[in-house]
Amino acid sequence: MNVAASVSSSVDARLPAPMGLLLDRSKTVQFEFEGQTIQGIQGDSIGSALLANDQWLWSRSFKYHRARGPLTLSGHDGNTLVQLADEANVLADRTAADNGLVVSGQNVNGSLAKDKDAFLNHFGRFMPVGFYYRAFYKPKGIWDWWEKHIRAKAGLGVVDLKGQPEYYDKAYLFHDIVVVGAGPAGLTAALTAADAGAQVLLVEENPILGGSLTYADFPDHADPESLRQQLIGRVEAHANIRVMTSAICNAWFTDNWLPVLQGKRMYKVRAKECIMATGSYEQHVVFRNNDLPGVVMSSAAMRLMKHYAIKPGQEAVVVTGNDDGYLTALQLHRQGVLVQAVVDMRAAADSQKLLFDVEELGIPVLFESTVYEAVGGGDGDRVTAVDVRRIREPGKVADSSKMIRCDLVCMSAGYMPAYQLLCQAGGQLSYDDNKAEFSLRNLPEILHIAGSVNSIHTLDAVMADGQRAAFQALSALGMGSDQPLPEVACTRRMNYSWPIFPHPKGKDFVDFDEDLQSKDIVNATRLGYRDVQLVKRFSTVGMGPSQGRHSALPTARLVSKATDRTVTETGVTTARPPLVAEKLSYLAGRMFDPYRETAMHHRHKALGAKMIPAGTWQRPAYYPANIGLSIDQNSQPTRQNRDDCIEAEARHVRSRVGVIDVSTLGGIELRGPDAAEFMNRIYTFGFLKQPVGKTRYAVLTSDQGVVIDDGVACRFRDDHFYVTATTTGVSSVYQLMTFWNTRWRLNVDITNVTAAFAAVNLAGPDSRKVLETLTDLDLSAEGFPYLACREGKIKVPGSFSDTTDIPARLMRVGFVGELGYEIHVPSRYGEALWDALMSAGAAFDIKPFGVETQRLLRLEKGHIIVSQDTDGMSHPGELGLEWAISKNKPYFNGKRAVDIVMKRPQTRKLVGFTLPAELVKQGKKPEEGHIVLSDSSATSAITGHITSCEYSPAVGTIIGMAYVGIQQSEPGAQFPIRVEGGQLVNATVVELPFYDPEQARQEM
Amino acid sequence: MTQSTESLQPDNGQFWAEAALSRSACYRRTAVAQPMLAAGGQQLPERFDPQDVERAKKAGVLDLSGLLRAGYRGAGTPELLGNAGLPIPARPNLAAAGADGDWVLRLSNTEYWLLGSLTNRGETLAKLPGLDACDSGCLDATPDACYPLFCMDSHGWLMLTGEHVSDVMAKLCGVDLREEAFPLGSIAQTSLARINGIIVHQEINGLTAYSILCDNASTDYLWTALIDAVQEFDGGPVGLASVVG
Repeated sequence: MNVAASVSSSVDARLPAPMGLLLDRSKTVQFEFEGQTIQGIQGDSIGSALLANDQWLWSRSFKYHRARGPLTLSGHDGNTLVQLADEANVLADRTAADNGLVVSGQNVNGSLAKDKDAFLNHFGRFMPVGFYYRAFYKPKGIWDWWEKHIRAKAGLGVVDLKGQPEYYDKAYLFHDIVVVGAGPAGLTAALTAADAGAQVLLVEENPILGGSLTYADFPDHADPESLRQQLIGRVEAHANIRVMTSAICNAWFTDNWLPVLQGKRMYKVRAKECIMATGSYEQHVVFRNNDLPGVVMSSAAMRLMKHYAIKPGQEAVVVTGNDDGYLTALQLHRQGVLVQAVVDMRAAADSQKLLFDVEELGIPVLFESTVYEAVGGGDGDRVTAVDVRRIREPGKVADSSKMIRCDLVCMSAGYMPAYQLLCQAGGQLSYDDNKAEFSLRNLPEILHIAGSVNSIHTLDAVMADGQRAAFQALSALGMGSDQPLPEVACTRRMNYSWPIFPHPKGKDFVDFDEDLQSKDIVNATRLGYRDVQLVKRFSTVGMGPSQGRHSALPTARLVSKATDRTVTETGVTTARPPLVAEKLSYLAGRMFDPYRETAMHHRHKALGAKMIPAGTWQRPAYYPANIGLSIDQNSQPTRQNRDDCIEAEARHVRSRVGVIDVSTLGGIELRGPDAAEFMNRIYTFGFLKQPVGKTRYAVLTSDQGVVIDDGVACRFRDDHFYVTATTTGVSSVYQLMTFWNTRWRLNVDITNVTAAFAAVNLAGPDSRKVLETLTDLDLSAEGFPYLACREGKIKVPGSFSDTTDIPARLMRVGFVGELGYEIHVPSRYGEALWDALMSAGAAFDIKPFGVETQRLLRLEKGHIIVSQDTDGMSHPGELGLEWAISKNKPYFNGKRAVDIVMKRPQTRKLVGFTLPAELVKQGKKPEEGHIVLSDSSATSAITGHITSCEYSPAVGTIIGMAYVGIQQSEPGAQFPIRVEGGQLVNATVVELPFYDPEQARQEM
Repeated sequence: MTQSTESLQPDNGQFWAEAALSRSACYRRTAVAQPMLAAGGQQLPERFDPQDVERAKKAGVLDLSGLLRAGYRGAGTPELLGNAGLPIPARPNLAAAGADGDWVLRLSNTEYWLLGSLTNRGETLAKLPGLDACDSGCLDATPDACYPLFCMDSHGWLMLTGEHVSDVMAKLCGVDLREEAFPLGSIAQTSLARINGIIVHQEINGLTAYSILCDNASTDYLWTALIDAVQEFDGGPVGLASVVG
């Protein structure tokens, strides 16, 4: 084929204007389909460009690999799914043709034209409905063999595993009224609402406004295009209307929460009132080979002509159950198509004028007749003729046949409301036997419908219905008039009651997506699946890309007849979001992933710290650079690297001085005359008599008597406490405090100041010497003793534009068991504090240490970490915290439960244990979570687990804490631990702390 | 100009914000701007480039964390505000501008936050009592039942400016922040980009501006989220000079 000549003809052969509403004829586009060059016109879809090049074979069907081409040309069916180089399952009739696209057919073994799996079409009787549920599982285990073969055949399209992520995001939109669908009803509704002052969002799935006005002809309106121009002119000029085209409202959620997909963004639309003017789906006629390329909906042929200026065939047959078929025949004739016949399933046309117009053109009209079978030239070829027969009774035809030559069959069996979004909103479908169509009822009060989705079909009535719906919505918004709502009715009958003509040889498709024939639906009911929901699950009807748009109505009819029920009783299957296939990128795009950084965060990174998450915070675990290692943030250090870093940092803190960022610690400020009373009611200790300038350990228990948080309470004034909390627990503690103070109404102000303070722990024998260079406070053991707290200034040498003093709160704490000072400063000064300490500490060889090192240091001191060494059952008695429970006060949070659980016989206890150091090299060091056993026998019971365990350079052994059975908890007792690989090691219970039991070092 | 969400190292390797002890949590993000001094000697980004003004009109993002702000809570707070000649908004979630361009935010019946004037760079607020909430002595400087808060340190202060503020916020926040639903002086205490924030609708020299006060430790995160969100509107980071001249 001469490509250039073909290209030219595909463009030149278009119908003259006004056909081709979507086209910009001054520009062409060129892309590749199945290795062939396809040229189209700007505005073409991939599909229309293919048809302009006489390419009617687009894809292969799911089960039988039958040749498939366009059906609706509106993006509403699965026949049009094609493969792009980087994307599967692209709707050819919705996606714009663009230069450079590489397009191919889907579900093909070999090439689209010569599909090696096309033979499956002849094996349909071996693949009856639900065959895959009843095959492949016997004998036992055979599924494993079948699965790989079935998986190789199943699925549509190929995912590009090398694809690069694209930028998708989300945004909210807020409007008084959202109108979904910009056909005549939607346009009228939007204008009516906007004229009354409402802020309106008009959502249209197509690239242009107008809906059916863009392609349909109407018996009651001669010039739909001028009407469309008039309406959209007003809409586009209206200040109160925002228009979104090529936008799909993909679901309806409670309170009119509407996800609207447009481009690469999901709009999360909030509408006070919503008007669905979503139109209706034209329905097909069920006859043998109704899926051949060239057999299309009447509306598809109209779209082809009016949107894309493509003459859809040379010789056409129109099979219809309503007058729209006549309008299609007339338009086909006007565009030069030889209409061989109008095959009308009815006994007579509704409009005598339309009948007269058609017959006057010499087009034969065959009443009470149907297409019984379409005939094609061979696999992949287009329809060549139809077998037309008289209808004897519903679904049955006469034996005599009339073959009519044609390359185009237009079907118009009626319409199905676009019900999916409305049923998601709780709407119910009921079937009108007289009109043979479904209608919707029981919609939420904030949701309205208008136009053909509301079973209104004549154009004037459709527009009046749009206006009515707008009035209804305006009234709900308090923006309407007092006038009664106009009555809108439509008596036009659009649906033929039984457009289903089963053929003994089958291939009379009800559901094109799933290759389901009429007998498949009936057989499902005969197998006992009488409910339409069960029919769906057994047969998969409605589960394909079309989601029942064309199969729901014939399925309801077939099931109702087979089960001797009404169509209303039978109903349709549940419609669930999303309406159309939704790319995961819409959901995954632009996710928010908050993080929190301490004021010193970048200093840690500059020092090469290995960072670890702590909630949304990032904290330095340890600093490999301290021992000369350089470890990339994204790489995982070896266990040995980690242990070496931690040991080095721990030795340094014990021998010199170290500093750790503890800014993530929670901080709560309590101020007011009742601050002490409040503290006393919340925490377990007594706080009424806590001296000013002193700290006190604060334990918080829950209503179940479980230890849920701990911290240090500093009293700076009679009416001022500053209490710390755990990094991840502070929000809950603050919430609990404010909850109780709402009840108690004490005169105290409570503020969560976690982010307001940056803090460090300066620890080690030389910490006093470092701090002395930066403050005028008396840091002597007498002037600032262990467990004291002070307010003061950190003096920072240097030239700064604001100040040289940093206000600070200091407390002497012993968490790591050395002389140490926690220094809390307003967060804006945090980085400067770090710099000052590192600078002042240089003379004392100060080094930073991380959270992992701190965990080892506190373990050596036997200090628990709430949530690491505690669980949801840990009461103070199990943790050895009896000393922190005041027995002299009537109440604290959780007191009653604490009293109860402490009086019960204790079954376990948290103890310290040691193990020989050589177990580290043998790979037998216990890890957190390893289980503790009652004994070493094969029948031993689990009595506890390890909560903390490390090798301690200060002690020279492995040390740890574990829950053990109460009988195992006495110092000197031994208990087995099951470590990695199932081996047992015997640990010895020891008194805590492991290090410096005289507390001499922290109190120096 | 567009700016990536990565931090920008100044040519000389020295961040200007480090000339002060007091630093914004996201000062590295504004490193390429020219700095200016606020009341108290803290540093603020003054100007990024000659296109600042244009960006500010579309969708500018401004780090005002270095500018003075204060907060007070308790029944005694109106007395303090009255003594200072500051307006008291009629109800919670309203803000009112003072004569010098300071803003008073009423966050609850008894909680008020004050944002320093962009024009005088916080000079008026600097005269208020009890600004150093870290010092427990601040309680002696304020009326009874008036507790100074820590918002200078607990919260970062970012500002979004220009004609697209509500479009940008629609990408971050589920609350309707269009001007018709969120008029001048409105406050929303809500979630944006999955963190808590206080959003205030202001007007600075005729320019629509939304101040956003967020958890101080999350300021750097929110800066990157905002910079990302303004890209489609040709927005970006701007300095204080672009909104106050």
